[in-house]
Amino acid sequence: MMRSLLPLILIGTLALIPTARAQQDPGKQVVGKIKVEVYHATDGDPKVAGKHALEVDKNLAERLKREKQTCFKHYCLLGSDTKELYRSYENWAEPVKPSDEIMVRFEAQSAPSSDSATLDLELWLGRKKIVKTDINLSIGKPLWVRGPTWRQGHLIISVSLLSIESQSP
Amino acid sequence: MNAPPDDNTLTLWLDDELEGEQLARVDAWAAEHPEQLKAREQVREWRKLISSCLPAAEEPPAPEFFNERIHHAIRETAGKTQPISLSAKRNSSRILWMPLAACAGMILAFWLGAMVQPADSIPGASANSKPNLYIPEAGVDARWISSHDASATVIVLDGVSAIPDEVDFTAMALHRARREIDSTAASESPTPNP
Repeated sequence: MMRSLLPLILIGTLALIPTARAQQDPGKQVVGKIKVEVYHATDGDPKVAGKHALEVDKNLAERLKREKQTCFKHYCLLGSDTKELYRSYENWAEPVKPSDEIMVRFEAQSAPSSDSATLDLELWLGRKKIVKTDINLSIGKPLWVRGPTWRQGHLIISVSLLSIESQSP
Repeated sequence: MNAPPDDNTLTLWLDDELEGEQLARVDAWAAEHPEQLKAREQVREWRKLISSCLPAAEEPPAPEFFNERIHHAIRETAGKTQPISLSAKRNSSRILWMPLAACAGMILAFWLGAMVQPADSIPGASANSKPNLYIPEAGVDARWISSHDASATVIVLDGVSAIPDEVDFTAMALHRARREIDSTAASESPTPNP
């Protein structure tokens, strides 16, 4: 009796494994968080950025000034967006929403480590893909893209890895 | 001169299974080949010998008798109260556990296969220090800088069209609601290109 049931038990067990896995869809697992910010950097009058623009943190301003390519007298925060980094799905950050003038598309290229993630990342300006890169982002070490000119200054798009989520197998 | 028969016809002739015109044709050919006539005689003798040793037909034993013998053997075995030896017990339990062990092994193999990560998904495997840059827009140039002083990676874009001053990013950018549909994970269809 027992022997006759064994094939049925085996087939049933094996059939349940892929079904359960498919229901979970591991691709939707959040593996980290990505923050995209847009700064207006200028040596001129910072007020041209607009009355709603926020002054950036002094530590951040000092840090930006340490790099020659991003060194300006004034920095204003124009917009910010924080989005989940999925295991296999792409995601879009729209830091100046509702404007779609600046958008960042990103997706994980491999499994993140404890403090870094390798991404496929694209910067879209004015509905055009301007640059695509594969970059390893570490927590605390952002990517700054010195972009187009705007109102007597430059736009700097900052992409930073905020956190890495603990991953279940 | 008669043409020699093919192998199949010759075999049928040796077995005395040819008839009529075909038999006459092969007989005429065999008359010039005494070795074939001798071979047919040998086959005939073998056939006679075999038929004398074996009965033409044998009826199988009565099925009732056969089944009765099996039932009798079962009754005899069941009637004996001989204890099962330890080795016999071991063998029977081994037979029972072998399929279970095979099942467990297969499930374990499936699970391990699902858990093993491909080489390209090993953390840090593709983490290169210098990112690749692809610039699809004509006239745009991009440079990559690793800024140790600022502890940041910097990409400098040159040749990008200036954004018109009329564009006001700050109108609503800092005060907006978050939409879940913005990612492909929340949508069945891919996110459309902006």
